[in-house]
Amino acid sequence: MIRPVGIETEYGLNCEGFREEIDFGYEASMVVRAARVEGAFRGWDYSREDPYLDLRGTRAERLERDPKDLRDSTAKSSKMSAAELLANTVLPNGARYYNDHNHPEYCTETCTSLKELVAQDKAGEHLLWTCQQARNESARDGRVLVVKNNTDYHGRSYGTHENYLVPRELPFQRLVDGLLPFLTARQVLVGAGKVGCEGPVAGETLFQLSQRADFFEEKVGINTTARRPIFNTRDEPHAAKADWRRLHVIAGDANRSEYVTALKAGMTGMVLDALVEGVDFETDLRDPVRAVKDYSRDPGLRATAETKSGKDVTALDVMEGYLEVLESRGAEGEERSWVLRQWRELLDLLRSDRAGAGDRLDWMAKWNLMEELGGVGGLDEATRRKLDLAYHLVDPELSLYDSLVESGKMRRLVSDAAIEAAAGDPPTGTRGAVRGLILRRFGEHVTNMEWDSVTLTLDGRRFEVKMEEVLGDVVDRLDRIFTEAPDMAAAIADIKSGGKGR
Amino acid sequence: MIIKHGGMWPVLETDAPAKPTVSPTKPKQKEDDELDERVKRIIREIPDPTPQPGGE
Repeated sequence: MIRPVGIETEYGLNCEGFREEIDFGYEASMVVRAARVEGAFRGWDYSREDPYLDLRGTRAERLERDPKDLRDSTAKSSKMSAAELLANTVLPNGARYYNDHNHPEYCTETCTSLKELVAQDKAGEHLLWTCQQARNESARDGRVLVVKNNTDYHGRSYGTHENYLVPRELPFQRLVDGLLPFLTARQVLVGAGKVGCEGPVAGETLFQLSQRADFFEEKVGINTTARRPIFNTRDEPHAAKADWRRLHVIAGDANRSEYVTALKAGMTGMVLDALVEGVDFETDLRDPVRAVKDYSRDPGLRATAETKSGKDVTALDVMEGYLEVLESRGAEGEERSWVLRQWRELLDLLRSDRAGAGDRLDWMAKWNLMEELGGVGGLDEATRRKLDLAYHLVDPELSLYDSLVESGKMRRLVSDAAIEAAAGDPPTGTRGAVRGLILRRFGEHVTNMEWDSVTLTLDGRRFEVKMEEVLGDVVDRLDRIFTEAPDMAAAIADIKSGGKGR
Repeated sequence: MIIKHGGMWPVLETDAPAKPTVSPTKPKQKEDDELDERVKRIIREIPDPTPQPGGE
């Protein structure tokens, strides 16, 4: 079992052929609402959400917005109710699917297995593709291509965030110090690759490792839509707050590679495991904000950044340092062992025969493809950008990632059958399994949902089932109750009696 | 591409795009030709990236 983790992805909408000005809020909503998933719940309980709360113990007065953000039309969306526009949907697999900031967002349930995480994430890609088809078949105006990436290539970014459950007793500063160099350098393995350069400090780079590096302006902070920090301090645990933090990692890319999705969550989880257990990685960077861009903008992997002690280190050096510490500790379980093996193999490949890492790493796969077509420097800019965009399209007929998979050039980690199953079944062993179970068996009684509670209505009375633990005894007990109860009344009675010793 | 830290933002030398080590050349296979054709078709069929709102 790995550290509990979920991934939330805001998908892009590449829109063409519209006769009228595009209303992105409306289009995102229409894409989400195109989902035809049996047993889904429409709604979401926002009452306990507060994105202004900061891990440093404060509450922000406001969150920054990008003043240069696209001011899109609201001609259609302004006529929609908030519920229609947000289109909140809880899927039977426990995932949340909705319109977030004019992008369809798919949030997986918490997973404790890397393969389950990949399958859940891929189930999201497949869902978005079906929604794209449904939207384009029914809409009167324009064509929308859904894209799993993080940039519009016009200076605006949308996010792919990982969420890790970490104990609150782990001191905040230790978490920051231990993670910052890792989050700065990990793009060398888990970056999705990007053509060009944009954002507040654009350069003349033809190709870089990360979709997101251009957009980071601060080391630590609470903002996510402007002045983006490498370490985000949002404090919404969606779990028992006294015990847990939800580490909200925004310094990551939308990956298509199954290996990279697993590696990203596995590596980060193992670094967190070590920090929780008191391990010191003894790595630091004098200026991570500069380093994250320098590293990204040099696909030759020779760019260095200075440590506080004055040493120049490459991204590979930083990742090597973290890996050596973890290797010396050993790995518990099959998946953690897999992470260390892949981490080692890929670092070695990047040092010796980088092209060979293109069967697993997104950025290297893109690079290899462009090299085969004439070289990154030999292709015109428009073709490079189209190649980049096409890699991330969720339509398998138009996706270069899917083309590479079909031609045997990208490795898979999970089967199509596992992905199909993940579209309907929640990950095992976490509260997501309980949420899915409740939807499946007692969906008609559900009146509200959020990550850590489900509200049920029976005979005119409301019952809130709290799920502040992500996994463990309480979750197991709830799972047994909702599995065995013959009806809703029996389940509620069982919970009220404390589970009769279950 | 070599990035040097100047006084301000990194100076980009313009020698050439950084190039990963080239793998030994393999004979082109049928799958490669099919992939090439597919890539060309996709590039013809898809539009340029279009502006979108930022997110998160």
